[in-house]
Parts: sequence; C-alpha cells; structure tokens
Amino acid sequence: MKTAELKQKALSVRLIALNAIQKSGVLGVGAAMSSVEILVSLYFGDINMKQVLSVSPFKPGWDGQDYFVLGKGEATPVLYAILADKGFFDESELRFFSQVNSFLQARPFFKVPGICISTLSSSHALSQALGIALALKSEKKNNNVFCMIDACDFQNGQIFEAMTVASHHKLNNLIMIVDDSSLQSEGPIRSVVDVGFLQNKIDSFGWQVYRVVDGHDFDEIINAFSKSLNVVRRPVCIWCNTVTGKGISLLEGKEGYFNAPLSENEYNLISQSLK
Amino acid sequence: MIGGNYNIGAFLNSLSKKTKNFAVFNSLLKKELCLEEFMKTNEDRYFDFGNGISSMFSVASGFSARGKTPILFGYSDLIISRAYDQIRNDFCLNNMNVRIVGVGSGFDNGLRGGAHQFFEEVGILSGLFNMKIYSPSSLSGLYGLLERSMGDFGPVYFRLPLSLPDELVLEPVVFDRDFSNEIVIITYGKMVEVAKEVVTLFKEDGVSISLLSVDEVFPFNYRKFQPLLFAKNVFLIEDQNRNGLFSEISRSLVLSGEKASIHFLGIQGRFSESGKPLNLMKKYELDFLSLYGKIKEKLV
Repeated sequence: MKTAELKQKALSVRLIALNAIQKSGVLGVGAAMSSVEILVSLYFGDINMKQVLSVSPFKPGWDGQDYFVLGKGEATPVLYAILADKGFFDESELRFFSQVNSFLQARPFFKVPGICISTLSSSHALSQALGIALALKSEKKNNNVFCMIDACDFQNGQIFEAMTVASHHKLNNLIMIVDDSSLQSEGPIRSVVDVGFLQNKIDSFGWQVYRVVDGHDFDEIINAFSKSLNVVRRPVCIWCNTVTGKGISLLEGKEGYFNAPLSENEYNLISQSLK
Repeated sequence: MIGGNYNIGAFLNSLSKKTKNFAVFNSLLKKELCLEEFMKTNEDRYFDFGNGISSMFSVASGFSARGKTPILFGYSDLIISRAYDQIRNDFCLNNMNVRIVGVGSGFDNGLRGGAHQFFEEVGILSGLFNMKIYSPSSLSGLYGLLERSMGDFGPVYFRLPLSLPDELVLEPVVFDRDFSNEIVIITYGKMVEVAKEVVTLFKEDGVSISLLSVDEVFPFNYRKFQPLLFAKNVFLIEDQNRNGLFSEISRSLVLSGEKASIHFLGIQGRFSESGKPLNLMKKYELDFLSLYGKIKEKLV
C-alpha cells in the first residue's frame, strides 16, 4: 500500500475505533489514537511487495504466518478495527465492543479471529510473544513475532526478564515495538516513575534498537520494520515517539485525554472532523 | 543437592519417545531433578529461566499458543507466590495447555524456614477456573499422572514434596460397599506414606480401616468418594487444611445438603517454622505415632 493509501486507511481505522470506544464507554481514547499509524503500517504496509506482517483471515494457523501480540491494552479497539478491515470478522461486531455477550473483549482475547493469544496483563505480553518466537525457533521456523507495548510498561520488572531471555536465545524473530507518547494514565511517565532514556538500556541487553522519531510517519515506521527484518542473532526494538490523541486535534498531546472519556459533544465534533 | 530422590530427566526422556509435543521450562531445579539428562538429548526443547519466574510462566503461555505443552519445574513456594498473576491471566483465563510441577511443598523444606514451606497451593490454585491439581504419593504415581495428563487439556498443577517413595502399594478401595462401621482415612501426597503406617498400626489392633489416597485433589470428585465420607469415623489428613482439600470437601457437602462427621487433622491457621521435617511433623502432630494417637482419641 502506498503512503497516501495508508493515510486514508489510518483515517478510517481511527473513526471506527473511536466509535467503538465511545459506544462501549471504555477509557483510553487518547492512548489508543497514538498507536494507529504503527498498527496500520504493520498490517497494511509492505516491504518489497511483501506484507510487513504476514497474516490472512482465509488461512488461520497457516505455516507461514507471522504473529502479533498486543500488550498496550488501550490500543485494542484500533487492532479490532484493523482486523475487521482485513476480514477477520465483520465490522458490525465493533458496535458491541466490550459489551456483555460480545466476543470482542476490552483486551485482546484469543477467541477473536486474528488474535493469537490473550494479553490481559500488558506487562506479560513481551514474554508471551517471546514464548511464540522461542517455539518457532525450536521448530527451525523463521516466522516473525511482533509485540507492541507502551513505554510505561518498562516500570514493570517482567519486561526486563523477558529482554534478558530473548537476548540469551538470540531471537531475531522477535520485534518489540514501543509506543512512547511519554504519557500514562496517571500523567507524564517521567513524573510517575521516570524510566529514563531506555534506548541505550535496551541496547545494553543485547537488543538491536531502531528509533522512529515520528511514530506517525508511515515511511519512517516501515523503514524501521524493513531494517528490523534483516537483523541477525539479536532481538529488535523499534522505539516510536508518538503523540497521545494523534489525528484528533482536540485530543492531540493532551494529558487529560490519555485515559478519559469524551463528552457527547466532543465525540460529535470529532467524528464529524474525521469523516 | 537438597536431598530429593527425583530422576525426572530419565522419565522425560522416556516420555519424549512417546510424544514430541512438549518442552521443559526450568527454574533452579536442573540438578535436583536430574533434568540434565533430558537437556543433553533435547536441546531444542529444554529452556532454563533461572530466577526469571514471572517471565517463564508468560513465555510458557506463548509456547502453548503454538500448540505445544510446556512442563514447568520450579520450587512451589517461589513459583506460586510470584507467578499467580501469570497463572491466572496467561494460563487459566486462556485455558492454556501447560503442566506446572511445584517441588518442595509441605514440611520437606523445613530447613529453609517458614517462608519456603509451602502449604497453600491447593487453596490458592483451587480458586482458579480451569485449573486441576494433582498430588501424587509416589514417583511412579507422578510419572503415571504426568504421562496421562499429556492427553488432557488446560492447566494442571502437580504438588510435590522434595522427595517421594519410588512406589507406594496401597490396598485398593472398593467404593460400592458399606463403610458405616469403618475408619476411613483420606489424604494425598506425602501424607499418604505417613497414613499408611497409621493404617498398619490399626490393622495390628484388629480394626477395620481404609486408606484413600486422593491423587487428583482438585476438582474433588465428590460423587466418587461420597460413600467414604459417611463412614462412622472419617479422618482427613493434610499438612495444612485451612483451605486445602478441607475446603473442597466442606463445600461439596454444603452444596449437596448432606451431613457428614469428618475430623480434619493438619495445621490450621498458621505458618510453619524452621526445623527438620520429621521434627516439625512431630511438633504439629502429623507424624504417624501422633496421628495414630489422635485418631484413637477421637474414635466413636
């Protein structure tokens, strides 16, 4: 897909995800919006005519498929909007997102087509992705496993355990994407618990780190994916600087909307602007 | 070495000849369980995690998502306390096909103090949906249960002390008969060996007594074991019975609306302390002579 098409796709994904969030009453609209370009690049972007993430709704469990594990729970409606667009399930299901009896749970759930594993606790996601990558390596397979977490997940020690193990096993089929909007639900990450300049630290764990200065620039993101797929004997981290509420002027960069609901008025204004 | 008698490596090697679809995840028990034997011939299916217990559990769920069955080995006190979050969210909520082998439960870890003597697993894990808890009383029982469990689906926890007898031959219990004039002892795991000695003493006294070893502790098969619960004298022995099989049997009785008189023998409502396992068992009146005396005292 060309950049202009990716931009168009991001716009529609944003609108579908926003509608699902608003209807369900789930919090985290600002946090979800910062991930849109990353996930659209992953699912719709291509490198030399090959999809970045090889998945197909028509061939579930096929041998050549790649895996995506979403640790950043707030981005779940964005992921569902993409999976619906890809044909994993009908878009109309998103009307029932996170409601009673809906199979679209608030966090990625393994019963949803296109979701390979439930990630109900965000700090477990990297370890879970590592488990899939390790299993693939032990089967002598080269399928890639992508995992997206939030920068604030580095406040949890399990991430560092997983980084150590991934490096020990030289899992170059494991690609960790970090969505760093510098915010978390309680405010700026640096004022809650400052995790410091992590890129050097991750490198010191034996990972290859690529920095995406603008985590909403498709060319830059896909270029990082392209480089990451050629790394040998090291797991990869793609560190993306993003903006909370991106794509919605009312919310962009605003701390208050990271994890807060929109009023009916705000929602109407925003949804009109996205159409 | 801490004095265990397991050679699980040899068992896993024999298991790998029957099924290739499992992998071994280990935290700190390579030497104690002789896992090196398995590691040498199965490098692509053996993974050490050292002290990284939380990640070991989540990694296992990822492994399981590839259709494999990871068997996790670790000290019971460390793994259950530290990885409850992962067991609940990564294993049970997803009904993942994993086998957790917790080693060092009960008094066996006495020399390491109260923190390392773990009695609470049955209580903790029986609160989790999809979880099964097995507590074999011998090594042959463990190997049989582990092998059989490879055909099951969902998470299973194996509760093990530091050592178990190789074999423990028990008189089989025939369920469809009248137990009303008998003594029945119900127990599991390490306590079965102790209870067997109690039974021998009573038999020498000419008393009619049955010993039931409940290897599959949770979910408790109430319908199967129900006839024994209504014997004249029923004793449930477990190292700690505040929320173990005690709770399961009590709950089953309340739900069924049936009344049974059962004596519960075991530590109630406190942690243990440092000491040699046998000395601790004596202190808490769970050695065979104390149990024999206590049961005699309570006989109707």
